[in-house]
Amino acid sequence: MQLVWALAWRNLWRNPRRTLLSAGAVAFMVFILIFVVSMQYGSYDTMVNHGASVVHGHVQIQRTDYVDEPRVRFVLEGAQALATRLRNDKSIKAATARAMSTALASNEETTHGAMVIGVDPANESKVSWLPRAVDEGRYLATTGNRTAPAAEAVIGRVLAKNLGLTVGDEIVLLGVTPEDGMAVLIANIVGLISSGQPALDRALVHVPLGLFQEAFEMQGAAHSVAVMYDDFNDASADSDVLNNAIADTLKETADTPGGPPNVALWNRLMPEIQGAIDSDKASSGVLYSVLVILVTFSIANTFVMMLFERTREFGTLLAMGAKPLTLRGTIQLETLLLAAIGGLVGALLGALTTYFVGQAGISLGAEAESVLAQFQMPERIHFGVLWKALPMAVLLMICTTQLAAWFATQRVHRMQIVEAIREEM
Amino acid sequence: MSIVRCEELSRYYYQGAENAIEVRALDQVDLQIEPGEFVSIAGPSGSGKSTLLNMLGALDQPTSGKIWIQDELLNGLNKTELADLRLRRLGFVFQSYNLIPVLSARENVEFVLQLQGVGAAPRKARADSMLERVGLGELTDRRPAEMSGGQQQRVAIARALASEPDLLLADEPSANLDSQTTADLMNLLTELNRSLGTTIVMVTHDTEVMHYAERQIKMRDGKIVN
Repeated sequence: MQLVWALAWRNLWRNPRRTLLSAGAVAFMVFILIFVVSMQYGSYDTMVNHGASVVHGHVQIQRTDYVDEPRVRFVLEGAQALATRLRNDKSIKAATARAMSTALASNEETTHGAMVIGVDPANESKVSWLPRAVDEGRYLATTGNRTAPAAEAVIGRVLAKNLGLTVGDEIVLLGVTPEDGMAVLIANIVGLISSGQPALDRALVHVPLGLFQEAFEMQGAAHSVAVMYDDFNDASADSDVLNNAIADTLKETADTPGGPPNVALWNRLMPEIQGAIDSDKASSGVLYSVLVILVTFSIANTFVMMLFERTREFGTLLAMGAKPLTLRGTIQLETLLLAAIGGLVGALLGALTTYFVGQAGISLGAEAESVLAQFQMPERIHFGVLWKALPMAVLLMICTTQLAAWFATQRVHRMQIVEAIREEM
Repeated sequence: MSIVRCEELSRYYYQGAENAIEVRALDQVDLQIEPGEFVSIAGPSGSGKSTLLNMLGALDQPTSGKIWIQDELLNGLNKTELADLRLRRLGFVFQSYNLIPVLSARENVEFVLQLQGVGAAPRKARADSMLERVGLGELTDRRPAEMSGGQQQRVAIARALASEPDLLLADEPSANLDSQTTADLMNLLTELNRSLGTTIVMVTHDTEVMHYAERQIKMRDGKIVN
């Protein structure tokens, strides 16, 4: 066996330039795959995390009937206890309870529709970037040791403009309680949010959860719990952590009128992002396939050339009793070594380049940066090395070059020994 | 039992438009070679001597006629069976040595043994022993490019004999060698034929070389003429 390996290895270096060029093609492909796929998946991380941290979270828990029909009376009793329990789990980055309702927002002269969200200020900023989108005033104060929530609100900048209100003014919100009574919430505006998303900026009102619960007579309940993970790939709608926490803290079960709580993953909450990712994967898959095919053909061409050059050698070996499959096996071994050399070099360069470029981040240009900043997105795309791409890229190139060599060496079976032996070297 | 037996062996080639021209490279040849013989086949270019050697080496198929290696009728054997027969029972020495350039002298000899499935230790021992036998005991680690033509041909002989074949077929083994090296090589083949008892069939166009063999066969126009 050692002799076969030695033969394969030395054959590779019979024509060092050709071997280096072929290995370089493999290395280039592996490099490209690692770098581009890492960047691609890094951008997915950004998209999902940014999208999830507007409102939904990576996972959102609500009553099932609230999902179908978001009425204020479909409350989740024990939502705050559930959020507290989940925050204590190491696998979860953040969790917060929210109560939500549509309301009429008024000043002395005019009325506009609003989406009022009761939030836990301390935990909201860990789940959502909206608290950081306050561009005038400040965000809601944390309750701290106080028992009564502050009567304050943060509202969308467009809503403030439509109502003719600004920081320091008072806003009146009129809604409906779970018992169909009238909810009245009066708060001082302490900050204005510019999220860059028109729908939010013209309707959003954040108030402390306790204030919401008081005004809407929620009796300590909320409507949803949003959960964030360090890595959205860790999120699962059916994890033991979630199921046990839900069973221990919520009253809703399969037997209650609303049914068991609904646990929705980010891709169900934001199907448009999942669609964009699927579409991007499909189109990039075509591009990668074309690149891999091109490299594979160039390798196949190399092996066809090599076979012509070594015709007499193969003829001699066949004359001595070697079987065509044995000869093809040695060429497959040469190909394996070639792809392994190229693959390892490509993987090393790919991982290093991806790491350093990913750390520094890729700028999408000055214009894009201002738009991204407006949407509270990072100005540069940062990404890490997608480690699973390394073995996959190397294996892919090993498999395709093996295939290329296999097709290129079909000729060995058709070789006429007498003619092959006479071939000029 | 004869080691080689041919009956009315013919090999025709067809050339020209619509293969209208028939070339009789081998024409109704009858031949019998006994174990231990050293036979030379001589003749002018195009006489059919290499074609006959290719037939004996199971490298080419006859147009008609029959050929046996010992009791094995070659007609009708498939490619795999022919490859097995060449591997286990025949040894080849070519005019241009045809060594694998990236392997050392020892590895070239070992390679055939590896194809036969011989283990690493006995393989190395047998390769060293054969190289010693052909006078290259000191050059086992040299590659073909580091050796003279005569030395390369000795490696080729060691490679052909290492697997202990029933029949050694040599196609113009001295064609690329000077007269002194040729004489050394022929003496070596004669000595190996006597000491190992290996049957040798050698094709040559050199009248001096052919006389090293104890039996000379002359060919002309695809036929044996003596």
